[in-house]
Amino acid sequence: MTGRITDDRGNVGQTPILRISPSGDSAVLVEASGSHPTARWAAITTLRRHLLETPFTGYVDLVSTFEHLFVGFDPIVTDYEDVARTIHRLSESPATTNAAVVPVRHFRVPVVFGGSHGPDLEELSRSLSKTQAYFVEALTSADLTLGVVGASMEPIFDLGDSAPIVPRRAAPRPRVPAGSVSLASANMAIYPFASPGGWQLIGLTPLITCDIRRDPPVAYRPGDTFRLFEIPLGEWDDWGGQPMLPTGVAP
Amino acid sequence: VSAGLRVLHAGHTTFQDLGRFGAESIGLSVNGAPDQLSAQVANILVGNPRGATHLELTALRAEFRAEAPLLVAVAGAKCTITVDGVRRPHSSPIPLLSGQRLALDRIRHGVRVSLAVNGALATPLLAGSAAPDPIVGFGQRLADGDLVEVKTRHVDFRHPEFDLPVFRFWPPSAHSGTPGELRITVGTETNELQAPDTLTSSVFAVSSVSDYVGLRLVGPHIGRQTQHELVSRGVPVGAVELLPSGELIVLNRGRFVTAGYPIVAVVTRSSQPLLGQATPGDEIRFRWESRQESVAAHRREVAALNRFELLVGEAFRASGLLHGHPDYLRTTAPFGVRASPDQ
Repeated sequence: MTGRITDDRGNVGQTPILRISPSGDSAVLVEASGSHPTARWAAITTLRRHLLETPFTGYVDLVSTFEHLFVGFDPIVTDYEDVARTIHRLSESPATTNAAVVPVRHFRVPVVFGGSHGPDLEELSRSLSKTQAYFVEALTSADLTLGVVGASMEPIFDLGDSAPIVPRRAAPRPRVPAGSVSLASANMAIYPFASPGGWQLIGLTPLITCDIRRDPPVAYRPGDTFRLFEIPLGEWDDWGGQPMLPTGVAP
Repeated sequence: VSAGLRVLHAGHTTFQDLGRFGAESIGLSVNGAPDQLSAQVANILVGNPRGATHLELTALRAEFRAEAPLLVAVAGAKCTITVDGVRRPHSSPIPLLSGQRLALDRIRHGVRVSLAVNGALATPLLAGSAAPDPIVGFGQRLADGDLVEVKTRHVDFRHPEFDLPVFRFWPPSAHSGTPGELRITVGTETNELQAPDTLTSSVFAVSSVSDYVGLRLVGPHIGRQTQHELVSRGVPVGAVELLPSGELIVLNRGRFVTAGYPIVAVVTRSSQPLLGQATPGDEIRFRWESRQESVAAHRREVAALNRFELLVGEAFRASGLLHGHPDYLRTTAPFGVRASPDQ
């Protein structure tokens, strides 16, 4: 993402345009275009919330990303045209366009930055001519809004227009540790599970991001706010193994 | 009644069901039986709800011992089924007496076998489903010596009709020997194909670089009109992704989002059971179908499954094999399938 994005007519900051198209025989894809990235994300996320709160007959599931909402339906019960009409109507209802107040949970996330816990921080700082402290400051000085819950429940954040554009690693790592705080493009993500990955690792949280023995396994959803804060390595054990829960909720 | 199935030789066997419905919004792929039709057929054949947890074997021989009287059924890929060394039919209810050994061998014409057991299997669940999710590390393979615990109403039952395979059903089948032809319908970027006909005029081979997330195909180079990367978005099961190299990947039930590749086609619902049985080396041909045609085919398949369930239920009642469905079973309502009134 580079700077402000305009639509075909050069409009900035307008309400995003939602385009709905079939995605196979049992799903639709909603794409937000025009306006600003934040507005596109907000339109998708608001639509997501409405569909989860009041699912239409035949609704099966959804996947929301920064600019798209994928909605699966049961073609025996409903059809593409009906689903498209329902989504179109929802997207135009005042409750959707006026970004109604959503109960937002807040998460505080301790992170050990750099060193063996963030093995890419030093090299990344050098290659982008920044200090390591710059990245720590950029991630810990403000609340971050959770943009997308990605594959395997990964929380992904858009760091916004002013964030440095971070390249992916040339060769992905075969195994990134669970809890890794990572950067790519203008996004930050926390790996919930040990997995292969090509993002730049700058820190590690001792919290358990995702616990598959709990139902649901994660407590966060798009729109929630996160505040990262730096802890020294010596405090790791004070946090180690605790689940990532919203403030005010006992484990 | 708590009973069990002892795993003598595990092969590659896991717990399985139709999938983790409703969990994609929290970031979990649907997963579930790649061959959804066989999973439902196997459960119907033992009088279970269609979405009940069952066992799924992949490619390898497995052997079990009944630790109590059990009613089982095998569906999916063809295989050689024996009970204490005596051949038993595929796609048919098989009563096991306590101590009898069930062996499934020579899995062929497909790669996945659904083994259903009347009753509720005791398994861990993730977001309401027993389906393995390798990405998050849920759902381990069974090991030799494991006991699969079963809550069942099945009681010791010897019926002359079961000693001879005269009690035969002909379940709806999507199988045609090899996966063969997969029908496809339009995807969100079909219009970016240089020539949509190249998908249907060529033969593709399933590469060995294939897993639960997707099958990589070997075939002619497929051209795209543009090269722009797409922003990450959710994609359907059966999505055919076109890589920058001109190769295709067909996404299976473990898929979630596309990382920048266009979806040039989607394997239809009624072809997905065949997709789920595809194995490296298989040849695949595609045939375009309209969305209306593919929904109509899916409707026919669901109707056939409904008729089959009624027929099996009639046979169970007539033979006294089962006194109705256990009402404590967990039901996972699959796509397009509603529980019949007696469930």
